[in-house]
Amino acid sequence: MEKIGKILFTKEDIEKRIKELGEEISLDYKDKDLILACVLKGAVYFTVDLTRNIKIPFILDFISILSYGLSKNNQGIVRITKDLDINILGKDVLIIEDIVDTGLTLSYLIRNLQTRNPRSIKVCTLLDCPGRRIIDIEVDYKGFEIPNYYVIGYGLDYKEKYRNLPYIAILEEF
Amino acid sequence: MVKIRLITISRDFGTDIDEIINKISKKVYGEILDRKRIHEELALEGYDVQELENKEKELEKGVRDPNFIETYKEHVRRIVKKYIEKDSIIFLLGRGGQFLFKDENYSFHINVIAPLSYRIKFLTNKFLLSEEKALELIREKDFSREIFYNTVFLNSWKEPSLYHLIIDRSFFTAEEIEAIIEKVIERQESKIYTPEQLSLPQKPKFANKTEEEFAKILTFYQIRWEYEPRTFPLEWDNDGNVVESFTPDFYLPDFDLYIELTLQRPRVMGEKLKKIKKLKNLYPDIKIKLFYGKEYEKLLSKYGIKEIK
Repeated sequence: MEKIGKILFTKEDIEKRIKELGEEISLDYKDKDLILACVLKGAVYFTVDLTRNIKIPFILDFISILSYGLSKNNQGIVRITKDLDINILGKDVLIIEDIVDTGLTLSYLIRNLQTRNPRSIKVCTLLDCPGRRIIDIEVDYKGFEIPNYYVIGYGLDYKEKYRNLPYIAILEEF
Repeated sequence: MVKIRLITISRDFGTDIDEIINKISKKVYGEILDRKRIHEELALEGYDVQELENKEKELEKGVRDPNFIETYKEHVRRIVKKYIEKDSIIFLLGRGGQFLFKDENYSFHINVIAPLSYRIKFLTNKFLLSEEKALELIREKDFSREIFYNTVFLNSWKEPSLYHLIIDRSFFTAEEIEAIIEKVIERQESKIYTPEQLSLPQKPKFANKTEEEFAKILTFYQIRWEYEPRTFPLEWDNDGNVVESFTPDFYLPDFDLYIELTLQRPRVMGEKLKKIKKLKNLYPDIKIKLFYGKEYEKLLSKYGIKEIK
């Protein structure tokens, strides 16, 4: 049975860092066609709070990708289960992730979005776990870097639980 | 053995394939059956086509009427078979042909796809639509097709196993697609080859189950991999014989990256770590990543793989 372990980042830590990220993004994307592509479901909490700290116009959209563990009865190949609703041709896309670890999902997503010819694609993640990285992917904006922990809270789940924790903690004994 | 008599074409909206099929059909004196043509046939048989069209629209909205679904399937089957009996090659556009004639050995099922950008470009050029409108139309059509097939055939029409051939329209010229389909028609018989006849690549002999699982994960994320493709000599004796070497488990050609995996604990990893250090010294340009012990277990458990030794 799993349990909530040490708190890595408190609600206040997260709020402070998101504010900084929002300011940075607002500056970098001034006068650009910013599209925030929130990767469901984990990044929802982060995205919502981030948007409150972005002071320039943007379009918010959502995308969802089938995860490996959930696909055992499917076709055995990653696919988009909920696509962006808007056309990103010639736009500046910022992918919003909750966590970047192996880079496998993100690598697929970037390859997929690139075929739609946006002007730019960058990545913003709340958590970066480079120790678990298989595919080297450049993260342009990161909230926090973490060691190889399984973490929960603030959108990150374990079997759909714990997303609503206001902090980020280590999941123990799972 | 039976000759191919029916080619079903399922295509994404905006893939610019119908003209090509038209051309092929004329060349081989075939017949094209699409929604309009089938309705014309049904009208000749005395059916109220307007009523059929209305009911088909309901199916596109997901309204499931089991009686009408069976009637719909029966109509399409009957009309297609009528044409097959006339000794023509039939090109059935849409209508669920890939489901209705799935197990018929005289049929060949093709799915034509294209990247979104291609479909938008095609629609904007052909119908002078704005990009936004074209995208809106594509979304709408994709959605209603998905609903239609799920309602009528309880399955997604995007399931690759339904097709003998999937063509990316953006990858081939019209002439190349014509040549491919003509080649299929030229075949004397519809024949399923055994894996031996096709000389399919053999599944690698993985050293352990976790490596096989790792390969499955890479395949899932559409990352090309090779298993143990290269052995790096590390030590030579005075006669020039290789006395020590190292073979990383995986190579990812698109990332020019080698990956070594092991569930061994760090304390028994000394030998392997020494080898990797030597490898890096001798071949400084080689990119290699090592996942081992607890870290590797965590990586596997992220993908739902546990307790594999």
